[in-house]
Amino acid sequence: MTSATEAFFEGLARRAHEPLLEKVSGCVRVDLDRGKSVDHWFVTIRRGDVTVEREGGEPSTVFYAPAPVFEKMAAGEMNAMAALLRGEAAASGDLELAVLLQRLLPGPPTSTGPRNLARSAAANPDNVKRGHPRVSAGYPTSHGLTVDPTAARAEER
Amino acid sequence: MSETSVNILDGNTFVVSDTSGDIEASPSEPTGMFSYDTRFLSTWVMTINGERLSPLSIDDLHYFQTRFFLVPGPGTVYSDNKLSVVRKRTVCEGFHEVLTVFNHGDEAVDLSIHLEVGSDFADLFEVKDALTKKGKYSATVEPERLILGYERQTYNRQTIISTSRDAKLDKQGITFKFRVEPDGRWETEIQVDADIRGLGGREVHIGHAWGSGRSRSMPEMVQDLEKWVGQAPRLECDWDPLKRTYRRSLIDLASLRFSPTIARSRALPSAGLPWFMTMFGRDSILTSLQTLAFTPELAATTLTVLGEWQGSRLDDFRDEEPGKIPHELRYGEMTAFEERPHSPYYGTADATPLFVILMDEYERWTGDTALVKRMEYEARAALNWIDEYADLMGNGYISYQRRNEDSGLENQCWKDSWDALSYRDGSMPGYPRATCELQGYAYDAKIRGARLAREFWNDPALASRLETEAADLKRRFNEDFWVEDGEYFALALDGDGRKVDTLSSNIGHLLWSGIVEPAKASSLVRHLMGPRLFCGWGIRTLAEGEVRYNPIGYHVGTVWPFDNSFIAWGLRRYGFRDEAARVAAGVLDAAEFFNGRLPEAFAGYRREETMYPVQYPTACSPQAWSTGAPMLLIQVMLGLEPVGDHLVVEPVLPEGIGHMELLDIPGRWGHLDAFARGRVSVGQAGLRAQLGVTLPEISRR
Repeated sequence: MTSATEAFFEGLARRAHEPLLEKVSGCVRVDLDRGKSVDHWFVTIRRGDVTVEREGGEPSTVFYAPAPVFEKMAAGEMNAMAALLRGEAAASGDLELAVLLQRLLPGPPTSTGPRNLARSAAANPDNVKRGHPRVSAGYPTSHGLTVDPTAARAEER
Repeated sequence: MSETSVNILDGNTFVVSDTSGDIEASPSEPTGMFSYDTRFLSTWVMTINGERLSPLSIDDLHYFQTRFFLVPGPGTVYSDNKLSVVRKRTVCEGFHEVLTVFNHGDEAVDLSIHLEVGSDFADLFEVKDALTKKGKYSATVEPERLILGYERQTYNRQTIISTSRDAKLDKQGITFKFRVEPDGRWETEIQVDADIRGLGGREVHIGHAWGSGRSRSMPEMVQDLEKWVGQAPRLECDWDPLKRTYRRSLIDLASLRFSPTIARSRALPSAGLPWFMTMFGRDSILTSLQTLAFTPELAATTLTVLGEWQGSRLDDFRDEEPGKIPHELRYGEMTAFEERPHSPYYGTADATPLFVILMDEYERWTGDTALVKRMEYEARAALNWIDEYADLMGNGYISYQRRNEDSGLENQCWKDSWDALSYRDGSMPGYPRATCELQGYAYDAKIRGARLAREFWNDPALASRLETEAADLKRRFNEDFWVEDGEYFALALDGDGRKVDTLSSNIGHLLWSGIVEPAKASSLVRHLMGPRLFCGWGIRTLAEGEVRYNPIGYHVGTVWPFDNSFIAWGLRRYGFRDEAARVAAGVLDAAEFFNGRLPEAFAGYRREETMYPVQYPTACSPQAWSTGAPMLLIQVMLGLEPVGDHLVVEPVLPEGIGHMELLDIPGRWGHLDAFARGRVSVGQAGLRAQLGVTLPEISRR
């Protein structure tokens, strides 16, 4: 089974363009500490165009967490900002990038959203997906916002 | 807060002490040195040869700097005092204190100064709710440094007190022993730093006061303040209290600026001292709206920063939804351990439409089209939130109901106290609640969103759709919320769609939003200016005569200056210029009683009963949207309105002001001056202490 961490980075890579990151450029190196070794993920953002690699150059931001801690974040079970304040994770460099990147992490899998959505979800299974973290970065199309199809696919993993 | 406390602050670091400069925190009083919602110093008590000191005077040099002039002893008897002490304290990432002891006698004296030091590392929420701590304390003495620590699992906070070499340090404090010659002096410096250690001792940068690096120097801060005041428009007026109030507001606004990490060197207004020195969706937006004619750069940062924290997922604990603008961001221990949802918390039903309103209004004043183009995605997401997530009842109205039942906010509109909403019989509605002003904001957001879509996003289809939706909302609202037998709009609709039928100040916000059908406006104005709502100093939050009316009830009878400033703007919008000037006059008269610094709220007693405005017991001060209120009232009195690339000036001044000028108003026009003459000629004899009281001898022109 793919880990939530891998699924998160793969989803990000498939997305190719992410509107939530359109205002920034830079490289975030995510260091995931496995005790004996450290996994690196390089997320490079150019005005919303995203590439994900396992190797890279000098990052503008470093986000550091023990691998099991990040796994929880990637699964929506831990909030990144609270973890930073608590000292379970750390960030250095350009923190604007870190703040924007954490917004792409999913919400808690148990969260249902506002009441009427929960009600209408029973009638319309499409709405259930909206509650799912993977679609969260894209907004519905009614206001000209695009839902990223690759994000939706990531959800079906 | 006790009246004797002294606040000095810089961004979200602030110090509250007694008038001697001492800090002796009690469980529930917010005294101490606070930084990032944590109390880093709860004890800071100075004695000289075992004696406490008493204040002779206090000198607030700048908002971030205070000088205490002290003498040893209890203070009532100064006779034969040969010693005096000056304590000069500057807040700037922690604080810096210069202690100077003067010997005025003709003999040398041997002295011992002791500073008792301690920290409880309380989260501001804990101070507010008097909760107990879960972690471990430590104290480490190093040469020239005393380090107080607090640790709970991976959470680590330190207070580092640095002194000069001649100090003797122990775990409870600092002692200096020295001799001062006749007519001599002795001086030392102490630095107190708040330190936040992250994982593995990494430094965690989470935000800072405006413009600061880690070491922002005093001269820089002085320079910055001078520049801030210098860049703002200059006010000339023959009614002096207004000039004082304006200057006080400008300086307070400077002190309330706050840069969350991601804002880099940009600043937005935090909400208020002492509880709310942080980013707030609603407060930051409304303050930015109030100050557009004066300091529009605040609005630009507010939009950018709130946009970067805009909700992106469903999170029931944080009441987060995609497109929602955050309510409040906190950095303290309870937030860190998710005992509170403020990382950030999204429980606000008004910040999201207000975000779109601010974006449009900002462009109208500044012509900064780059920003509204850059933030198209965020604005669309906000507009989308209104339709997709805010309509909890499926009736086409914004309503709110928290999903976080433990620590979320029950009321997610500006009147957020438990008893703010009630029916005429005093009973309170269930949830969801759709307060009326939320519908006004939604209407205004759609109208403004339509303008943005048409003019800047090249999306006429969206513009037309938003306009159609807005027109439909207006029509439905004017039917569904109208209280026939009172001829005003209900405060809210409850979960069953029933009207919460009390008369409140919220109807004034509806005028500001433009959702009111013109035929209904005059009866609203009659209520707003009538004796049940208008108390002489301003418009009460809830009308006298309602069951829950209480002139000192937080949202059920007090007068809020910010509320009044938006109502005055609304009165202007519907052409009620004299009424707008009357509201301005009342609030500005009140400001004079508070030395130009309007509190968050004051009591709703009738003006003729008390003759002075009675401050609400625990009101925050300075508070950003109260600080912004005089500025918006000046804008309203001058009738400033951007129209195309021009600034229209159509002044209506209250009686008692003969002339007013606002010079160098920044905007898309460059800088312009606005001049106003009163309709009443006011000679020197006609100038009066208060605006709102009619004096018979003033002759009409």
